[in-house]
Amino acid sequence: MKKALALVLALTLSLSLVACGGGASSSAAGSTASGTTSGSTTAEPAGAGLYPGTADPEGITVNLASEPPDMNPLTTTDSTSMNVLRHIYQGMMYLDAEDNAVPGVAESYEVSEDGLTYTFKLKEGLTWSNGEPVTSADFVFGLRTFFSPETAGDYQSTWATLIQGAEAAYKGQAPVEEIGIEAPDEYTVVYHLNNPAPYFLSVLAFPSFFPMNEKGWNDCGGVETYGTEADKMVTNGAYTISEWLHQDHLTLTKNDSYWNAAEEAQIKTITFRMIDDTNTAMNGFMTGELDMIGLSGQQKVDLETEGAAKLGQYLDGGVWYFEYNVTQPGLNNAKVRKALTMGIDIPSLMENVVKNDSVAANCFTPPCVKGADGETGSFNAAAGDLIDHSSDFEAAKALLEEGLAEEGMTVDDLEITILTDTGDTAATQCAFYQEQWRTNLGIENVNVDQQEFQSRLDKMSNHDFSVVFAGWSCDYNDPNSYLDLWITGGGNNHTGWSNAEYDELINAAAQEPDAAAREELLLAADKMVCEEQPVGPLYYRVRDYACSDKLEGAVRSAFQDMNFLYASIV
Amino acid sequence: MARYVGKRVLYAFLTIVVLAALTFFMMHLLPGDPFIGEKAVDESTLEMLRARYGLDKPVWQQFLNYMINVFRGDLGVSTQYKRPVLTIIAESFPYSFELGIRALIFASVAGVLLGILAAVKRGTAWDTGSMLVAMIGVSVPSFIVGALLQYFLGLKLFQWTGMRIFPITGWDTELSKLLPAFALSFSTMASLSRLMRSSTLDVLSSDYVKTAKAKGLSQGKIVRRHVVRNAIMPIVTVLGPQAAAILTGAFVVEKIFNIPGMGRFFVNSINSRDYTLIAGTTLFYGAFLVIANLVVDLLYGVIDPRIRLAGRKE
Repeated sequence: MKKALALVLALTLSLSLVACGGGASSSAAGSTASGTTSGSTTAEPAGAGLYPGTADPEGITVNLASEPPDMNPLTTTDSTSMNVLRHIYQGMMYLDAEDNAVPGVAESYEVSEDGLTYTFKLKEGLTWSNGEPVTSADFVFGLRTFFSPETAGDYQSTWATLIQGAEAAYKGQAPVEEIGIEAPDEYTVVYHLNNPAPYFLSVLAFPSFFPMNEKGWNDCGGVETYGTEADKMVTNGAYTISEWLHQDHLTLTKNDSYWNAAEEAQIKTITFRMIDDTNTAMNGFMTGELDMIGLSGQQKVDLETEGAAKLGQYLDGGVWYFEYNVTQPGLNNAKVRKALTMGIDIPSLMENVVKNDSVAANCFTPPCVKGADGETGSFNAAAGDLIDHSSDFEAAKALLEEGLAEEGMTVDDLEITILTDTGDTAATQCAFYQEQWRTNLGIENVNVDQQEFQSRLDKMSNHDFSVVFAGWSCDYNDPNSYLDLWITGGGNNHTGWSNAEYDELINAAAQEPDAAAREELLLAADKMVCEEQPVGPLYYRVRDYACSDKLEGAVRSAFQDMNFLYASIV
Repeated sequence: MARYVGKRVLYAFLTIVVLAALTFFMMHLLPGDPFIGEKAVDESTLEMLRARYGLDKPVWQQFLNYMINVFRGDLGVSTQYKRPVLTIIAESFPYSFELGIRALIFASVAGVLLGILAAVKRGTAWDTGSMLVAMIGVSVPSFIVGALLQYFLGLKLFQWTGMRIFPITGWDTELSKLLPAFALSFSTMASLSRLMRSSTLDVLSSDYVKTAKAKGLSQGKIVRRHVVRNAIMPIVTVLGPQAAAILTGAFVVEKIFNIPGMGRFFVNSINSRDYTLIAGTTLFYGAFLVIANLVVDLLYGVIDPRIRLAGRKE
């Protein structure tokens, strides 16, 4: 017995030595910060050289922040997965650094006069990572698989509005062979649309429309397992996926046979790390483990004060608003809803709560969206100032009282429950709104109901709330991606608001072939949202990020959250 | 003894089955659905998805199917990641396990030594010092310890010296494993040292130690031969639950040091209503805990002859 115990103790001790000692020889994992400045650029910040980034001269390591949930292009819905997918796949079109759709696999294209037929000629000689050629059959197979009922992708109903026969196909009412895509020859693809959609070319850059190699799809197990591991994907993009350690990192390697390899994808390897803790990511950035990280409001302020890091920011497409339950007493009055939106001091919200350069909303559609003229922000500018964020609380209070009087109520009768997610950010924001309504409008009965994500969705579907603080990001680069939310019975319309005139505007815009006339209809719709305010737009979210000295030209926008095709190492 | 073991194993098995049932029915009571997100999805799509994962059947039937599959060694496919739950556990648990084992070994060795030191040198600065460490350890949670270690030894040390000694994230080199293991072990080490101190003090005042002293044995010999062996029993008692807690409770430390362990899958699965992953990870952790306790109970007999003899008499 004595011996056994002694042995156990000795073993524990030795093990603990192994656990706590060793490793001095293998320190730093082969990457030591050089400490010297690498070539200076015009945009070099004051204290340059502090963040040289990772040591690898040919590769970068960036923070993706989480495990990509769905890397199957035909079913994916989230921007994290798409951040990886846009590097390893290429659609008929892809986005340039200014969010313009430019030919990818397509060599050229023609649009019919009525805007309903798109004919594409494909580049010849492109190959899949399994060696097969990229042909028109891959596009037909891809789209048919996308709209097949078995695929059951979240985006089926969204894109079925565009493609002829797609709705019947994904609902299982018609064979998928009848959807509006055909391949007259090996390198020609024709799409037939339901209505003229001027944004269709940019939609073709979206993963749902990516080509899919039939052999690769079947070899990887089809919809059940395609895209679940690095070796369960067959790709055709500028990079190939070489390693995927779940919840840790994912490595892409340049595909030298990519058709534009000479011009694009100058960085040989891209490693996406999945660090969800923002403080950890920041520490990793500061010690040269990461070349790009997203920043919280406070981190941005800190780095800005220090002045040594390359900072960037972009509108991420998110518009944040109050969604009002118009079936509730008081909130059924547009004046009351407007007054509640007016009652928030936006500059103070930005300075004290959001803590970055997010922009006060002037209408529902954010300025990151292109207008009919193809210019980013022109739609938002044309809409003008439709929301009163002037912080004139006297006027807001008067409007509130007027609206409540119309309903036979007073401020004391008004009871508001703000429904929101759990988490510190949501808590801080809602506490702020609560206080604002109390001090600016004199509403005493304001409660915050913090619910975990799934429970919140449940309560929203059941109209069990008075106000939800929520946000929406678009699916495609067009105002319609925001405005069609509020049509009667729309799946995302939890407000209970229904307006036949509004539905007609959205419907007419969908049918209108003339871009300028279509924009007028959508502008009228945006104006109606801001007048009726089933939702009260507050701000357009800006995201901040920091790059190491070596990373140049990373594209970040509402439609390509991360794109390194045009980036380089300096 | 064999009967005793058999009974304990049977109880352990029943506990696991009850745990599986409770988890299964409770998670289905949560509001929400694995396939509903912020963006509205067409009802026909939802039906297809529910049918694919067998969620269109009544809950009791789902449970029966699930249990049958579990006994066949199949924990199902995660609805969120579309990968088999068993694969996810098999890939991620080794990280959590290694982290936990390192933390546990450090915690028990350091905790026992600190406790003995404090008891033997009772009332001196050694006692006060080690109990101060224990007090800090018990009251400061691991995520604070982890964050502080990362900040000072990972970031500040790098900035002062220019040498990257402790990486911020990762789990490859020995040095990258040191800070997370220490952060995770700290509170266990502290509670073990407090326990060890008090039980050592008990033993020190017992008759047989007095006798040993009277015989003229040296202090060191008394502590090694008579005190430690008797005082360590309470440690063994708590070691089972502590081991299970450390091996399964590393979520926060894994998050701070970005270790691809099982903790994040466990927590995230609940938020995304990934039923199969919730059930699979809970079952796995539960079984682990039950087995850890079972092993400790059986170990008693090995370490303490009194229990073994009592068992025999039965």
